Amino acid sequence: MISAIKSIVQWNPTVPQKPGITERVHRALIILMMLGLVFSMVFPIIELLKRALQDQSGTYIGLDNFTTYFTSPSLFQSAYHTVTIAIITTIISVSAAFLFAYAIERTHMKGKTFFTYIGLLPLFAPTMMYGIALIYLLGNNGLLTTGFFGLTEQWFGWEEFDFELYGMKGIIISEVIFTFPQAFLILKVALSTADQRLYEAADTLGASTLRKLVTVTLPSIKYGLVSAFFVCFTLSFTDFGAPKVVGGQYNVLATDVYKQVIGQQNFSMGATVGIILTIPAIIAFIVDQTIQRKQSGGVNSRAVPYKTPKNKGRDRLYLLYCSAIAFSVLLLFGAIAAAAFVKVWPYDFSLTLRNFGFGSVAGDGLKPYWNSLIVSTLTATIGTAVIFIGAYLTEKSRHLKWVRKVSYFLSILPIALPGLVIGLAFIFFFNEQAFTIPFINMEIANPFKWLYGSLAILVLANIVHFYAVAFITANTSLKKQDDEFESVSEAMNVPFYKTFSRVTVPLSLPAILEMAMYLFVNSMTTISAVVFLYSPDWKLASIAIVNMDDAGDIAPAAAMSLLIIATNIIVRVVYELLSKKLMNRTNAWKQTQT
Amino acid sequence: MTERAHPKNKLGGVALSPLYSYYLNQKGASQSMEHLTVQDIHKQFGSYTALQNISFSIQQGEFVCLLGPSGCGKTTLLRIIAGLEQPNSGDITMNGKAITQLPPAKRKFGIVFQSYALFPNLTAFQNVAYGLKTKKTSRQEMKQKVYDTLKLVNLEHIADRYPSQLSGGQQQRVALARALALSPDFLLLDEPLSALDAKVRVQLRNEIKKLQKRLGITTIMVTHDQEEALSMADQMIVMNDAKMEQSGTPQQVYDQPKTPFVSDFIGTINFIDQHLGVATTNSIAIRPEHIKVATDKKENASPATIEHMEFRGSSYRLMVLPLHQFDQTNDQAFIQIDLSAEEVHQMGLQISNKIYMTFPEDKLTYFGTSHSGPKTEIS
Repeated sequence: MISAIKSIVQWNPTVPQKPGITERVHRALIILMMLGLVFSMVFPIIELLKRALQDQSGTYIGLDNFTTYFTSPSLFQSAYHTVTIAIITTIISVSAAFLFAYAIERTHMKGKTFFTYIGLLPLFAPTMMYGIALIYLLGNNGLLTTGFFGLTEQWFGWEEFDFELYGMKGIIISEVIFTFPQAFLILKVALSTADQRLYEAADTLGASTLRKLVTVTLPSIKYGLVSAFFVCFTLSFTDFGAPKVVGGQYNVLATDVYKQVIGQQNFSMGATVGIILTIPAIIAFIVDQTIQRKQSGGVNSRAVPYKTPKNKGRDRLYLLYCSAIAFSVLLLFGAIAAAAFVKVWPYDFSLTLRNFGFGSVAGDGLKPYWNSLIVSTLTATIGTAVIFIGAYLTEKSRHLKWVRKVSYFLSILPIALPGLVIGLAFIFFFNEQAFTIPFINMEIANPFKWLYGSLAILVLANIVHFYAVAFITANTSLKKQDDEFESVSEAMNVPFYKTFSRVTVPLSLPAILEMAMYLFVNSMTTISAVVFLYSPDWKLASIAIVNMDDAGDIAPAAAMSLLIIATNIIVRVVYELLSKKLMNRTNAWKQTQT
Repeated sequence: MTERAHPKNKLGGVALSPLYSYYLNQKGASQSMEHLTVQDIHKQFGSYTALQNISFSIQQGEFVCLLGPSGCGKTTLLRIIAGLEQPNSGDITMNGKAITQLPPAKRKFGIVFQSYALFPNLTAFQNVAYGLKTKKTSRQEMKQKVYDTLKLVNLEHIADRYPSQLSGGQQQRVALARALALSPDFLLLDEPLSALDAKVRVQLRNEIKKLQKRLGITTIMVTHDQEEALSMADQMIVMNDAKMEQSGTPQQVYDQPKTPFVSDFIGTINFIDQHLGVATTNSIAIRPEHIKVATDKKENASPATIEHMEFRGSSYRLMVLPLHQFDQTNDQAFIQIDLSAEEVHQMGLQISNKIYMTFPEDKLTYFGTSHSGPKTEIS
C-alpha cells in the first residue's frame, strides 16, 4: 500500500502506448477486479466504520460508542476474557504444535504420515464440534466426568467430579484444538527447511544440544514461530463457534457482537465491538507484512538438507507424545460419532440413525446440509475462478501498475478481517436502502439490495472471508512462473487469454485444486460471517448446529457435525487423488525442473 | 544429448527454405537504410534514473551489443525498444516510422530472454508454433514453418521433447527458434548466453552469430560479458550508470576507449599517470599486453617488483608493484602486465624479481584534457 501511494506521488508520466483490443480488454479486467474488491470489501467496511460512529437512530456521535464500551464493566469484562483466552490458547497451542511438528520433521519416529493426518483432522470440523464433543466427554453427563458412568467408582472408587466445562476451560480447550492444526502446519513448514551445515558447524564448535536449539533451530524458525503465534492468537480471539456452545456465562467479544446485533438489535454497538475484535488481526497483519519483507534469504540454494541424527530414546519419547495428542483428537471425534449414533446419552446406548433425521428440530431436516453443500460448491468453483484470475491480473500484467498494487493490498486484507466483522459489514452495506454520494449530496438506490437474504450473499461473504489465503496460494504459484512468459507472448502477438489458458492455468493446476479444496472445506465449517446473513430459505449446516445446540438438541447437532466432517474428509480424499493423478500426468514436463 | 559443434558445411548444406529467402531478400532490399533509431530516451523509476539521453541508430542487418555492468540500464533499454516498458520521453523509429507508442505486439520483433521463458508444459514444437497459430496459415504450412525453423537451429530431432528434457544449450536454441518463427523484423536478445556453461556458451556464441549473418536479421543483444560483446558485435554500445559511454566497432572501442570507464570495462587497463610523473589521476593508460619488460636496467625505464604471477596457459599475467610508489596503500597502484609464457621463461621471471617496464608512446591512451605531461620520461 505504501509503495502504491509512493508510486502515485512520484508520478513520472511515460509515453503512452496505443492499446490494441486485447490490451483494452486486459485493462478493463484489471479495473473490474479492483471495482469488485472495492464494492465487496471496502464499501462494506466503510459502512461498518460509519455505523460504529453513530447512535442507534443514526446520528453521528463520534467515539461515544467506544467510550460506552470501555466504561461499562459488563462489556469491558468480555474484552478482558477474550484476551485471557487468546493468550492461554496461544501458549498451549504453539508449544504443543511445536513439539508435534518437531517430532514429524526432526526425528525418526514411526507413523509420521498417520500423525500428520491426525494433526490436520481438526481442520475439517466446525469449532462448535469441539464444544459439543467436550460436553460429551467433560460435561455434566460426560464420559470422563461421570467416571465412565460410574464404572471407575465401582472399580477404583473414583467418584464423579464437576469439571466446570462451561466457561473459560471449555473455550480454551476448544480453541487449542481449533488452532492446533494451523500452528502445526506453519511450524512444520518452518522446521522442514534447515541447513545441515549450521548444525555441523555448531557440532564442530562443541555446542550442547540446548545451545544448538537456542542458537540454530529457534532462530531459523523464528518467523514461523511469530507467524504461528499471531495466527493462533487471532483465531482464538475472534472465534464464535466454541464460545457459543461451551461459553456459558463467560462472555467474549465474538459472542458480544452476536448478542448486540441479534439479541438487542443494537447495530452500532455491534459494529463498535466488531472493530475492537479486529485490532489484534490488524496488528498481526502489519507484523506479518513486515516480517515477510525481511524473510528473504533464510535458507539459500546452497544449503544442505538437514539429516536427523539417530537417537532411539528421543524417538520413543516423541512417539509417546504424539500418541497422546492423537489419542485426544481421536477421542473427541469418537465422542462426536458416539453422540450421533447413540439413542439417549447416557441412559440408552443402543445405536440409532434417528439423530440424522433432524426431524424434531424446527422441521428443517437435511435441508441445511444440502444448502451448505450448494454454498460450499459455489464458493469453491466461483471463488477459485475469481480469486485465481484476480491473482493473475495482479501479478502478471504490465498495465495499470498502481491499480494492481492497490488490488494486491485489498486482496490480502481479508486475512485481517474476522468473519463476524465481514458478516456485519455486509448487513450494513447490502441492506442499505440508498447511498448518499459524498460532496454532491445525491442519493442513489442501493443496486445490490437484491443480494440481501439470497444465496449469492452467502457465497460472496465466504469468498471475501477466505479470499486472502486462497489469493496467497495463487500468488505463490504464479510467482514461481517466469514473468517473461507474458512478455514473450506479447512479442508474438498472442493475446493474454490464450497464454492464460494454455500455460498459466495448466502450470497452476495444483494450486487451483488446493484453493478449491480450501474454499470448500472452510465454507462447510464456517459460521461467523454467515450467521448474520442467512435467510430462513438458506439456513446452513453450521447454523443448524448452533440452533439445535441452543434448543438443547445436542445429539442431532453432533450428527450434523459428523456429516460436515465426513463430507470434508471425502473432499480431501478426492483432492489428494486428483493431485496425484495430476502429478502423474504432468510428470513428463516436470522431471528435471529445478 | 550432448552439445556438439556442427561442421560448417552442414549449415550450408541445408536447402534454402522460404524463410531463408525471406530474410536474404529483405537484407538485400534495404542494405544501407537506418533500420532502427533510438532518440533521447529517458527512463525514471521513482527517484531512480534508469536511462538518460540514450540515442543511437542501427543499420539493417547489424548485430549490436549493449554492454555494461549490471544495473547500468541496458536491459531496461532493451525492454523499451521491445515496448515492454514505456520511456518517460524520447522516440524510437523503425524504418522511418515512429513506433514509440505501439504496443509490443505491433512491433514485429522476436525476443529471447536470459531465462528463455520456454513454456514448460509445451513441447519444443509447440513452443516454436506458439505464435504461429494465431496467424491465418494452414496447418500444413504452419507445421512446415516450425520444422524449418527448428532446422535452422539444428534441433528438428527433438521437436517432441519438453523443455525440461533438453540441455541448457538446446533450450536456448528452441527459444531462439521460437523468436525467429514469426519472421520478425528484428531480434532482441537479453543476456541469452549467461545461464550456460562456459564451453557451450562459446559454441553457441558462434552459432548465433553465424545464423544472424545468414538471415541478415537486425539484432540487439544485451550482455555484461565484454568478451561476448567483442566477439559477436558489429557495433557495440557501452553503457554505465544510465548513460551511453561510447559506441563503435569492437576494435574502435577496445583500441580507442573514450573514457576511463570504457577502457577499464573492456579488457584490462593500467593507469600510469604517476609513473610518468604526471600529477593527474586516471588520465594516461596502457593495456597490459603493451607494456615492455626487461630484466636489465634501461634508461627511462620504471623499476618494479613482481608481486604475483598468474599462469593462463599460453600467457602470464604479472602483478607488479613499481618501486617509485607514491601511494603504497592504493590497490590500483599495482600494474598488470601480460607476457607470453615463452617470454617469461626466457627471462626466467619469478615472484619478487625486479623488472624494468617501458611504456611505448604509441600505445598510450589519454583521457581528459591534462595529457601534456613531461613526455620526455616516456621511452
